[in-house]
Amino acid sequence: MAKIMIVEDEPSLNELIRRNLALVGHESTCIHDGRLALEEARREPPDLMILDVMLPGMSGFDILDRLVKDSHSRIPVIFLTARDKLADRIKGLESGADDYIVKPFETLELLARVEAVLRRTRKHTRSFVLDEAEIDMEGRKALYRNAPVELAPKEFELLEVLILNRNLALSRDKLLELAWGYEYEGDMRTVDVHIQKLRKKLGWEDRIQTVYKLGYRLEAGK
Amino acid sequence: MRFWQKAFLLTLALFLAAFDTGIFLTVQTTFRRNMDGERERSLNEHHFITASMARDLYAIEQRASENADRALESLFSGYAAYYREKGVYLELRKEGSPLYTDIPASSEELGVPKLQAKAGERTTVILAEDAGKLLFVHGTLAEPFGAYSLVYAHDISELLADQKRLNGLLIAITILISILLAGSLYLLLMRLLRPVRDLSQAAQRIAQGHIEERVGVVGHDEFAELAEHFNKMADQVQSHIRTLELAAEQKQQFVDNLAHELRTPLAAISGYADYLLRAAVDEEERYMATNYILSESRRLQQISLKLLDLALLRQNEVERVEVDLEKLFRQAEETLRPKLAEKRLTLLLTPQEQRVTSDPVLLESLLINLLDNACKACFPDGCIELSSYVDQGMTVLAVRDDGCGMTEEQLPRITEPFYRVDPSRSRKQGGAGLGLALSRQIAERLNALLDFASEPGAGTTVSIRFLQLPDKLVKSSQ
Repeated sequence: MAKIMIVEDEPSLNELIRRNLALVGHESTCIHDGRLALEEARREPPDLMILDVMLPGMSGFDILDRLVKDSHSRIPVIFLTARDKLADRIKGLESGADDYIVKPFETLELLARVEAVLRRTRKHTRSFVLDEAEIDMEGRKALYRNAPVELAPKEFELLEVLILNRNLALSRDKLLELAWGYEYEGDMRTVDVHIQKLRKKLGWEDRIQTVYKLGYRLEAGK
Repeated sequence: MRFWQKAFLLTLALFLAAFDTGIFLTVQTTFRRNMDGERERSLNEHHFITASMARDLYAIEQRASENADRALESLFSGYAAYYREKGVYLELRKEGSPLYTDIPASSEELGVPKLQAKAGERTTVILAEDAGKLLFVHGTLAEPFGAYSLVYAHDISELLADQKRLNGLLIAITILISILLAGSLYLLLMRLLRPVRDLSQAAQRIAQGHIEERVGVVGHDEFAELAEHFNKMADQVQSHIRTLELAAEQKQQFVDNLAHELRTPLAAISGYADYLLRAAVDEEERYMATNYILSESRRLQQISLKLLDLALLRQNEVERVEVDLEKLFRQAEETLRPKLAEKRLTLLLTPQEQRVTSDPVLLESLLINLLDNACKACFPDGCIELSSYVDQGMTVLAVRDDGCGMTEEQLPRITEPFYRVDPSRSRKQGGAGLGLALSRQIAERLNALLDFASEPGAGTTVSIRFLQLPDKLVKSSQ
């Protein structure tokens, strides 16, 4: 779980991001004004800032500039903006941002990028506990009822994708893409077989739900 | 061939032809007159000699000496010796055949025998000869010595040589003058044609894209006039290009802004739809997500409607009829009643001027747009005044509110599409950011000026000033 600050003046988008981050276990503060964002970030630095560029009060670029000048606390920043010109992207990344996402964006893409930045910048141990299963993502180990579970490499990849996108339904296509990679040419049955194995090995028969017409969802509670 | 080359060659040829003809004619005339003078003098001298010789012959005859022949010979040689000094040669003939002669070459060789002389007549002839040129005069002596005739030969080679020298001199002068003329003509042409060269260079520069290039205008001749017209043309072209560039820039800006305006609601709509699809949502969340989807869709709809208005505005014809302003004000008040009631706003109608010539539909939509903005700017329990009056001969409609007002930096930008004085507040109130851009467009179509006066905290006044139009465009609305 990470503390994330969402700075976006559009209430609907701000709320949408907060809810999606909450699903995968992050705690967010929603801020709609540039100056306020800078104050809050200085007072209590979050683990990550998702920063809109065009903000009332103070632009996202300016906020990042100030934060970089503060230097004692380097806060990871992902820009979120409707400006998709190459020059804007370059400016965003050169100003010290960790990533740059253009509106409209895919929820899964946003979550993946948030996770990537957090993984790069955070030194915490990433582990996940649900029911009687305990997964250590750093050490790529899993315990069920305190006994080690043998997981094939692809099974562990799939497990990680499910955990990072918990409470969100993922299609079989998406799971194949995320766990096996684009180049894998297996069929959908492969996903079903692996899901079955994970359910059995971790005791997650009720946790990994089949979602009608879509795929699977790891329900971990909000 | 270049123009200057043509002008150069033609002028030079024409001048030389005229000059040389003149010189030639002058030389010819002078020569003929000199020859005539020479002939006249020779005739006179011949006459004088024959007369004098006749008197001498008479004297010899009177003496009737047996030595008449010798006396005649000595008489002749006396004459001959005297005249030889003057370049004149004599020959005395009797019955056509030479008696005595002083002419250097044989007179037969010179063709002198052909000189036949009748009594009292004299003939002259000029004969060419290598040694020189001689002018002959042949005539009989006065009676009773008609059998005698005298050939008078005057050496005119000096005269002819003079003539030749003169000709040579004239040719030299002609060549010299031709060279001088060619040089000065070239310089003159180059100077005269410089404006044309400048013009040509400027045109070429402009063709290469240096549209700001201009020609220097010197003097008041045809070239200066041409250069002036050329510059005017270039100014026109440049200003047109600038207008087009500006329009293209504005259009690009508009498209960029539009893309940006569309992205935010689209991101929210697709995001919430995705959320509904993937997350296990409860009733509260479903309500919240669908609500957001609906409100953001409405925003897109707002934008598309305003864009449609803008597009239609450009196409439709503008009507020009007399509009009853009091009626129009009441209609606008009716339309805005719900919004006025929501914030408990007071709308004052003060139509001092009753009529204006305009398009009633467009004018109403313009008024409603401006009143709508006034409503948004007003604080609850505020006041809006809608008035009409005449100022400097122009009919003016004014919308005044006592709302939040705008700063001086904001004022010039408010009619830009998608510009918002307060972005978050405007979106909350469902604005598309196109209201004043649309208002400005309508005002333009109505041939009216839109003036904004505002002070932060004190409110805003928008005035629509109708520019005067010719009366013939007015027709009654009834």
